[in-house]
Parts: sequence; C-alpha cells; structure tokens
Amino acid sequence: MKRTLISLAVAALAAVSGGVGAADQAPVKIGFITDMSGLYADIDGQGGLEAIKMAVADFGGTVLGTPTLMVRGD
Amino acid sequence: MAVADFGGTVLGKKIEIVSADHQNKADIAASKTREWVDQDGVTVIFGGTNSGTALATAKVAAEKKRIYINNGAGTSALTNEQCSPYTIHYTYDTIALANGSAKGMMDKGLKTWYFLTADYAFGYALEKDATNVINASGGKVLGTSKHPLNASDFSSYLLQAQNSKAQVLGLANAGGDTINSVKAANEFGITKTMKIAGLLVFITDVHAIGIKNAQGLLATEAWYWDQSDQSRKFAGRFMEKMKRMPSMVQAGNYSSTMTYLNAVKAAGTDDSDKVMAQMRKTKINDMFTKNGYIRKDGTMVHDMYLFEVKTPSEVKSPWDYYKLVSTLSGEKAFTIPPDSKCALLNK
Repeated sequence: MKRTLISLAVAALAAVSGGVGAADQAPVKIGFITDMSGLYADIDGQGGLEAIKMAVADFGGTVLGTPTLMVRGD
Repeated sequence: MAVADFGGTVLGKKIEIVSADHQNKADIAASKTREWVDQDGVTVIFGGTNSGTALATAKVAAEKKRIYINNGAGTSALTNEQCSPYTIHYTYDTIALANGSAKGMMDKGLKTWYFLTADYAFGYALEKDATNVINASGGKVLGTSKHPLNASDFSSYLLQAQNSKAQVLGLANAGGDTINSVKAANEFGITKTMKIAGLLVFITDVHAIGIKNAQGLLATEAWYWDQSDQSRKFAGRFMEKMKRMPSMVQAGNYSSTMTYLNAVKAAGTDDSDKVMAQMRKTKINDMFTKNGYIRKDGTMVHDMYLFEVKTPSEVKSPWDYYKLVSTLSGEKAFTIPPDSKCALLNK
C-alpha cells in the first residue's frame, strides 16, 4: 500500500513537471511476449512476467531505487 | 492486469514493462512486436515459449534492430539457420535437449525410437536434433506421428507407437502436450512395453503429471531450484508470489533481465548494438548460471544438467523431484561451431 502511494506521488510529480522530456528521457521499455493462457503458460506465462518484474525491482532497488515502474498488459 | 509498482530506473530512466499473450500464434507475435517497436518505443523484447512465435518475433526484431532475448522457445534455428545479431537464446535449445535427454536414453542401452512430435517448428527441430544424436550413437528411429499443438487425444498416435515395437517413445513436444501424452501412455499401458523419453520435461510438467507417473523420466534443464543457495533463495521469493517453484524458463527470465539491465548501465546507453556488444563481453555469474557467455550466434553458452525424476519414496518435500545424472558443459551441450550454419559465428 505504501509503495502504491509512493508510486502515485511520483506519477503526480511527473505529471506536474510536464513530461516533455528530451529523447534521452524516454524510458527503457521491456516488451514481454509469451503464452499467457495456453498449454505452455505454466512453464513461463504470468510466472515469467513475475520473474522479469522481480529482476527490475531488484535492479532498481539496489541501484537508484526510484519507484516508478509501470507494468501494462493487454 | 493491474498496474504494479516497483523500483526501477537505469541511467536515470524509468524502466517500463509491457506484456502480451501471443496465444501461440506467430502472426500475433510478429504484429505485436512491430506495434511495440513502432508505436510504443519498446527497447528490448523478451520472448517466451513457442518456437513459431519466437522465430517470427526474432525476424521483426532483427529488421527493427531491437534486442530479442528468448527464454522458453526450443528451436535451435534461432541461433543457427535463422541467427541474427540481435537475438539471444538464453535458457536452452533443442540441441542441448538432444545432447542431454536423447543421449541419456541411448546410454541406458535403449536404441530404437518412435517419435510423438508436435506439428510445428519446435517439434520438427527437436525430432531432427534428437534423431542426429540417436543415429550417431548407433540407434534407429522406426517412425513418427505428428500431432497438432495442444492435442486433445493421443490414443491413435500411441497405438501406432506401440505397433512399431520401438523401445523408446520419444516425446518431441512440450508443456500441456507432454503432460497429456505421459498421462495417456500410462493410462493405455504403453509404459509396460516402451520407455518414455520426454525430450523436453519441465519441473512444472513433473508437478502436473504427478510423481507416480513421472518417476524415472529424464529432464535436461539449465537450472533447478534446489541446486545452490542462490537458486533456493530466488525460488523461495518466487514461490511466495506465485505459489509454485520456478521453471528454468522463469529463472532464465530473471537472469536475462538482470543481464540486459546491467549491460545498459555498463554501456551507458540502451542503443541495441552497444548493449549487445556489452552483453557479449560480460560473463554471466548469478543465481542462474556460472561463467555463462553470449556467443556471436546469440547462444548463451552455459552448463546444462541431466536429471532423473525421483521415485515417490525418494521425494522428501514438495517440489523435491530431481536427482542429478550428469552435468554437460556448455561447449558440449549447445551447437558446436563446425556444425553451425550461422554466418555470424564462423566469420
């Protein structure tokens, strides 16, 4: 819950500061595509996404640690 | 899916993740990759299971000069006939499976084979790579039945296999198809006359099949949750979130994400060519592997392990399924350079 609040606060800050941004402000964006619902979903699927999220969290948590990662699915 | 909140920046940039379900369709994988690069500015694509979708994604990624890291698809074509300077095949491939599981069965003196093969790129690659190992070891393939992906009924294929009088029922399939073929082979009593060789067995399959029917299967794996303190620590954290142990693919997802982000940080840029160069020159030492390295053809060369599934009485705790048979060094497990058709490797 605390993390959600921080995240919202950061999102609000980003909104206030305009989000104009030079090219180098573009996020590092990871696309993850796999079988999320079929016969291979247990091998990878949501668990595979979770593992990527864990890595990003661990990386950020130990390096710069600004809680701003967004995860979007479709 | 909900918006999740995690800490993550590299080079002071935010790290975002977008995810999609390719539904095992190559055209969806290709169009989604194109959309992500053209419209969403995706920097790197991680692709999971399914060789057909992986080859399609790799092709678009190469055209767009975006890094494509695969964990989960089997086909060795990703780093051989269809290799690209932007593809990394990280966890395992069908050559490694053949050198592990097919060779492992041959070493038990089981020489004649009948294949049940998933009817698409992955099944073909696995059958071909296993057949090469079988022939080279003095064995013989007596026949093959191709089945559709996600088959609902294996009975007719299993009857044909039994009629072949082969010693080994070789499963060139994966996931739900492996689970259902092993279950059906037990149900129809095929296992009384034939030994099952699941050429790609994941720990999640063993869990789904159940230890009684899975015991004795060989599994070629890049990683097992119970192999080191580091692996157990990662597995414990994963278990807390997902309520199951991670497969080698899921562990590979973690490791390769770290490898990529560390390379972006070290290179000081997310430029694909520079990050690829950085990744190629950095050894991988983490919870997943020791001294792994990314070869020019995109293969992440690392040790592989041949496991045998324990008997029910040997299982001491949940997910305690494997005993180690042998370790295959990365140089021997994956395609050896003289066998490769990848121009990047031999130039």
